[in-house]
Amino acid sequence: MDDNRMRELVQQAVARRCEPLAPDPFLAARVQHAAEQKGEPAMKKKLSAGLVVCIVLVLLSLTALAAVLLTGMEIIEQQAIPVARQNDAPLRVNDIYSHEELVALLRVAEENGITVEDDHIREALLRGEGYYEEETIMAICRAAFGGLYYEWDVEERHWYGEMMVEIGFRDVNYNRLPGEGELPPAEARALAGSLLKEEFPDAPIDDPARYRVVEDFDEGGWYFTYHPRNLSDAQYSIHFSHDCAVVERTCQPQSWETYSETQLMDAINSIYGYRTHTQKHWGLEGWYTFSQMLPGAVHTAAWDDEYDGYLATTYLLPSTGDITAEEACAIAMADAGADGYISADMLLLGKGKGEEEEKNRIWKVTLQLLNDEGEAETRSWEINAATGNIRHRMTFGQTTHRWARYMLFETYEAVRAASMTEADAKSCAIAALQQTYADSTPPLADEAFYDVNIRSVGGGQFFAVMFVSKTVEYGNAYVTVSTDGTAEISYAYFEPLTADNLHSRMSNVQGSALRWEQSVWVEFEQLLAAMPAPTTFEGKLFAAAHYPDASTVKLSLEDAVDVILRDLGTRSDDAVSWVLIDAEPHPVWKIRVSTFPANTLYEVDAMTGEILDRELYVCQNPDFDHDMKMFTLRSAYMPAALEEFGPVRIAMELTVKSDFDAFSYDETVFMNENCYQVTVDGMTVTFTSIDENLPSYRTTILDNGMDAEIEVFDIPEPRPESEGSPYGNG
Amino acid sequence: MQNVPGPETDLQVTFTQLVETYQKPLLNLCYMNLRDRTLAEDAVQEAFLRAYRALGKFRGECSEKTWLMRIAVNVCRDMQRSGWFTRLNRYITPDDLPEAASEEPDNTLADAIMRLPGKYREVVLLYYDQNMTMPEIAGALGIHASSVSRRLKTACEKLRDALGEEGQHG
Repeated sequence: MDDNRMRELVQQAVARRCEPLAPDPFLAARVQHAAEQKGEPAMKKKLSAGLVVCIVLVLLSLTALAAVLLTGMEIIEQQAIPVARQNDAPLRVNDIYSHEELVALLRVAEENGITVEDDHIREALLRGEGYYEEETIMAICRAAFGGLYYEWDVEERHWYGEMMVEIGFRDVNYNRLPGEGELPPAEARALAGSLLKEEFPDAPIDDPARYRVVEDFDEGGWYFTYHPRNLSDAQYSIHFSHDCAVVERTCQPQSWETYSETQLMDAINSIYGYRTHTQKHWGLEGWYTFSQMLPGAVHTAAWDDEYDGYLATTYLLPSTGDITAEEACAIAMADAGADGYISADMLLLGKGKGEEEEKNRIWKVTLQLLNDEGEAETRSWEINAATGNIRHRMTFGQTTHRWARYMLFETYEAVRAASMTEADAKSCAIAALQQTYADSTPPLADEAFYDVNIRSVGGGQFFAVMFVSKTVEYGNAYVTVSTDGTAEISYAYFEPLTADNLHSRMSNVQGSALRWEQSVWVEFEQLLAAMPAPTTFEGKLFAAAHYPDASTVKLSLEDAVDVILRDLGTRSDDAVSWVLIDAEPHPVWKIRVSTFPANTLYEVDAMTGEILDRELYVCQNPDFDHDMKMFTLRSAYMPAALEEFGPVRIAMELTVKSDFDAFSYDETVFMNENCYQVTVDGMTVTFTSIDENLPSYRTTILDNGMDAEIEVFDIPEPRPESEGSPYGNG
Repeated sequence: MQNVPGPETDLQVTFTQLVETYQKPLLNLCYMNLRDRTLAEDAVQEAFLRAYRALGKFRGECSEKTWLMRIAVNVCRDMQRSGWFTRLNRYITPDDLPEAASEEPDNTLADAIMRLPGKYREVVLLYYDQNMTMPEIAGALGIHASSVSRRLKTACEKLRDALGEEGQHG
């Protein structure tokens, strides 16, 4: 099976498995709301007086330390760890160091001759942001050890893992050292080259100018990969077991003559941009090499405006008549009135080809700067490399492509002008929908009925066109349009409005029903009542329920939530859903609250505040704990569900929720024929365990599913906690 | 959606576009990793929350997709380390997860992917399902590209073993 076939199969499999998962159209709004509730990135606790003294002493004593400089490891061990230990760190993210502490660490590192090259971390910390605490520790170590994390040797990675655990960034150090029966690092390194050369005697892997070596090991042995630093040398790798038996030796010549544009991009990334695997670190040589090879690259479906732009651009190497990259950068910064930047890209480009090119050598400088509001802003300058005169300025907007920084402005504009516009994409999408749904296409182009949301996705290869209905009469549609005009309809809900799809249509317009205002439920009931009877399980339950006006009851939603919180005896994270449902003798607030280990559905008398029902809501399987439970009373849902789904499903649910162990197993175990044999006798369902680790259950459904008698038998011995999952979950 | 309050800043516009574009891929990734609809939804929300808080600092050194996938993978790993997940996960078999459609679809491959140990499952999903390149995956997972390649190879072998003859038929 080749790679493309495998990709096709995996994508089909995942799409099928995940088909029931529906995106939440209000996620962005909810996240922004949550961010506002929680405040902006958690800022750090203030420095303790003792720590201030400690840091001041460290800084004051730097002169004394200069004679015996601290290494990167010592800075982490002697400075970072004690500070982390002093700070209690109950949370995992962004809460161990204050930005003052991180800045102090950076200063200590620099005073000891370790310069962190990541300007962005320095800038961010100087701006008072503590978000980069883990990155700061890593940056100090990278500056001290050199290279990338995965180019460190296994001892360095192990040490780093230990530090991460000490500080509290990690629970476990996954970077272990070879243990008993495993080949020690020094021996493995000595062996790797000689074993490789047994098969490839001419491999020039010992030349550090031509190769970078990456080592790794696990229970299967040692792995060494020799990455070439140019496009002509082959890549070598060797894998041998801890008893020194060679498992695999490879030599992969770089067949760049047949590379596609994306393979070429990967190859250049690997050689010139290996520090981050991005274009940012290609440098002039990397871009020059890329431009020399791109014309011969095989075009694939990934070829788009970006590659057109690269192809139309001349990338140059510096010559003696040019101002330097640093001088060009200084000109740009002076023009911006900036005394620092977050990040910088500098490219030497040619305008035109051949002789003309030599007359038009241009530095393209792109800086990420802080604007007056303290927000990052990307700006480009095009500077004549001979005179230093600025020929063009550009500020990146929200729709400017990242790759605009890697070509002249006029080249970028030209390739963009030649490509499909959003208006074209919308027309293509409407045409495709009209062709497919000739008899039922709604007025998609009419702004009175539809909002149309268009955006460029897939790195500019596609436009995603979403038609969002403004009324319940029509459903939504989603179409992707490729730059060659091919349209693919992801979905189009153009069926007529019925009692069965009214809820979903109203959710399109009003947002998730979990958080509808009660007035929306009242309107929903009125619309539903005027329609022909529903036919689905959900539709029938909705039709059977009545949703009164909230002003008719004594308890407001907030009052009801207070009742629930008092009942829980602890602060719940959130009320997830709410609705007021008519009942005898009083209307009932049905509220789902977020509790551990599962949510809880409450029914609260809306006149007296009495708690009428509590039910665990597992919610991981909509067929098991159905969404409808949130919108109907349990007394209405359970009989209907018993009729709809039958006694086995209901017995599973009642069993799982009644028995802690069963709950922890999850209902899916009951459905697994390798775990249980199920027999049904009227309303009595017996789950006979065929797995020695699981107990058996005999469950008799009572009162139309509202209650059950459950007998547990064949109870197994408790499993030791250390036993892992039988399915080998990593 | 029209009833969402209109975006007020460029940052919010960008964020809304990110959510619209990547919510479903992230939801799929988290579901395949966590095997639980609610946990996956929570993970996606948490991932976007982290992304929102860091959006102003996103440097564009990797693609937005790589950046978001890295955040989502880390959120999933955090959740998998939690006590609740450990308990919840102990006896789940992917065979028993909800079916996507009523006409008995063949979920053999999806189930085999979900049974893979985490480090292999992640690379399979990112490489094959999310169409990310090996260097991008390396960036997202914080590992070297050669490790991605090796894990992918091992993962494919495990999938072939798990699928048996079915795998041969592709």
